[in-house]
Amino acid sequence: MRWAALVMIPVLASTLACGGSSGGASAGGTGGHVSAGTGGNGGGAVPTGGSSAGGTGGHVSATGGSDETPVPTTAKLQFDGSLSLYRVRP
Amino acid sequence: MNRLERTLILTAVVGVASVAGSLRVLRAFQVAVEHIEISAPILPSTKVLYPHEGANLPTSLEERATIAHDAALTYDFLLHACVDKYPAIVIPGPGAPATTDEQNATNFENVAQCSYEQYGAKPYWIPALIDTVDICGRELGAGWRLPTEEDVASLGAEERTRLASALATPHAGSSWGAFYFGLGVWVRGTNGALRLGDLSPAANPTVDVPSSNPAIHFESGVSLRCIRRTTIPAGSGSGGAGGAAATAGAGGAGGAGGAAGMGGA
Repeated sequence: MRWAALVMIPVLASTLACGGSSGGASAGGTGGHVSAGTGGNGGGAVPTGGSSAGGTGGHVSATGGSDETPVPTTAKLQFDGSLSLYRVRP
Repeated sequence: MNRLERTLILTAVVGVASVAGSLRVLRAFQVAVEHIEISAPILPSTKVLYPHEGANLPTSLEERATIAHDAALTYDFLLHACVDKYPAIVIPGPGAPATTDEQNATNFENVAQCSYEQYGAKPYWIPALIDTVDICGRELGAGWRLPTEEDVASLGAEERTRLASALATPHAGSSWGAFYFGLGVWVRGTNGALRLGDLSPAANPTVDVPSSNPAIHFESGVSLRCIRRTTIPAGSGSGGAGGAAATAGAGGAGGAGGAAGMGGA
């Protein structure tokens, strides 16, 4: 029994870790620097995508939401007066 | 091997399978990103527009397009035209740093104020012009168009809340330019007709334009806002590694994302 427990504990631990980090991974994808590309200045760098979208990704995971659910990032008022919003589609 | 050992081994096998599945999901996590932009309102100069309404509205598309262009007050035009009288407006010079979120908010408030005080702007377009002239494409350029009913319906509650929050500048709606801060919009209905939509968190249903002469300006809080949707395909940028979560589902902070390669100035 002792050897079986030694196998099971790290496996369960890594399973939990993977479940939690998938939200973060989606956030990372949208975070960083996807900019609008239409000029003005400032474009539309996704604001600190890491933390905010990370939370959202985690939320989708936690609630068992579909992987197809678009994950919105924070909307921004841009220099050109437009509202900018990003959606993440896995 | 006793029952407990068999149970533990079975659990371990299931766990390994779960890890493999999770890794497959992560490998497949080539996300596509859609960029949705909702333009600032394009308001008409009522002084320019009103003389052309009713029986004076021409029937030819080109003449209508000329009237719409002459009346259309775009944000870009106002930003530059208003800066002398509204010195709080910040327009970075060549090589200067981009404006901050706070400066963008201040600019927006001042443009809203200026649009009314200096140009008599109100969201009172002649519906027949919006219906027959591609004002969005002509004034803002390729990719911009009148929102469709489907565009409006596609916005989820969270997206609507975030759009409204982005518009909630410190002095939003405190001036005559309050209509700049509304999210009621003209839309192209699924039946092809011009309709009235709502991008706000209230998510009021899209409705028909109240029956009236479409050649006469329509007085309401509905603005002409344009939309541009751009899909940034998967693989354009590599996402950062997800942060480790303390508990399953809590979601770690995402890593720094990769550049998508579409950066603006």
